[in-house]
Amino acid sequence: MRLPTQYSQRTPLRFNITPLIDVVFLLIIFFLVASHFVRSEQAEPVALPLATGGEIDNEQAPHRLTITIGEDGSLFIGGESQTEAEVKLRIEELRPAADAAGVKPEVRLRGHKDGQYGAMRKLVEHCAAQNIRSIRFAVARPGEQ
Amino acid sequence: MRIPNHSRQRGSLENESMTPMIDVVFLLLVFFVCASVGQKPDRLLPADLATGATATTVNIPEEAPDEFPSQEVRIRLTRDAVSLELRIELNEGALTGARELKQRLERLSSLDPDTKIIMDVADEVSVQQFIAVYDLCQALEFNSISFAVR
Repeated sequence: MRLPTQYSQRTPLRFNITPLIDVVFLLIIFFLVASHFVRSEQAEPVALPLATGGEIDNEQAPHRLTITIGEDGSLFIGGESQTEAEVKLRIEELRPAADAAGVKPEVRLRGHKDGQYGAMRKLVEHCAAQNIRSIRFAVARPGEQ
Repeated sequence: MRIPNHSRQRGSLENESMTPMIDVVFLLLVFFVCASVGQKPDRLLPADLATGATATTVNIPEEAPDEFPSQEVRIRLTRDAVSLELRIELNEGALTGARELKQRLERLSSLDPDTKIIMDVADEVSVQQFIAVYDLCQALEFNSISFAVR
């Protein structure tokens, strides 16, 4: 014989969605914050040169090296200051890593608009010597900065 | 008189506890969405280096007799040591400024977009000046833009 309990007498069992919504929103916030930091990790703040052309590329390529060149010629990779020899070593490591993955390596140069072209030229020449053919110059549209 | 039963009390309590939580979560969501929108990704000017650009030996292909070879135009950018002004030379001929360079390149582009542009930029020239000329060449849709190496 089934004995009615006090609980079943009150209301039928209901699914509580409050913790579910809580967890889902927390996950959304976590991924938003994580993507924000991933994007800002590559972007050492620098005044980019102005150009009317240029396209926005949000694609996350795994074998892409973003090098920031400061006004005084200082070099940064991933927000960390690097010597010229260290940067050249990273460029040299890019080609075999991209070949192993079967993708085209790419180097993005973010040069300060008042910096000297010489620092950029050395890196472009080193990329060409390492058979890295895809170079991108980061620019800003007038009025965007 | 209407007497509230036990289950109705419980239901109203549940609603009251959920509303501020959803409010706060939505506020946090809006905040982070706005914060992430504030950071714009860079615009990129492509520069695909041709294969063999650094080779020391160059094989010149035989041209068909009825074809005119595409001419080469060398843009030299230097910076005056005293006045620090940009000096522009087009095929060794000095230009008055960026406006004249633009006019000359526009004419060249309309006549022959296959003209090979060679950019010979001195190290002391600023990145902005180099990008401005490179951007101009790309905007005029020249098929071949090269960088001189030292």
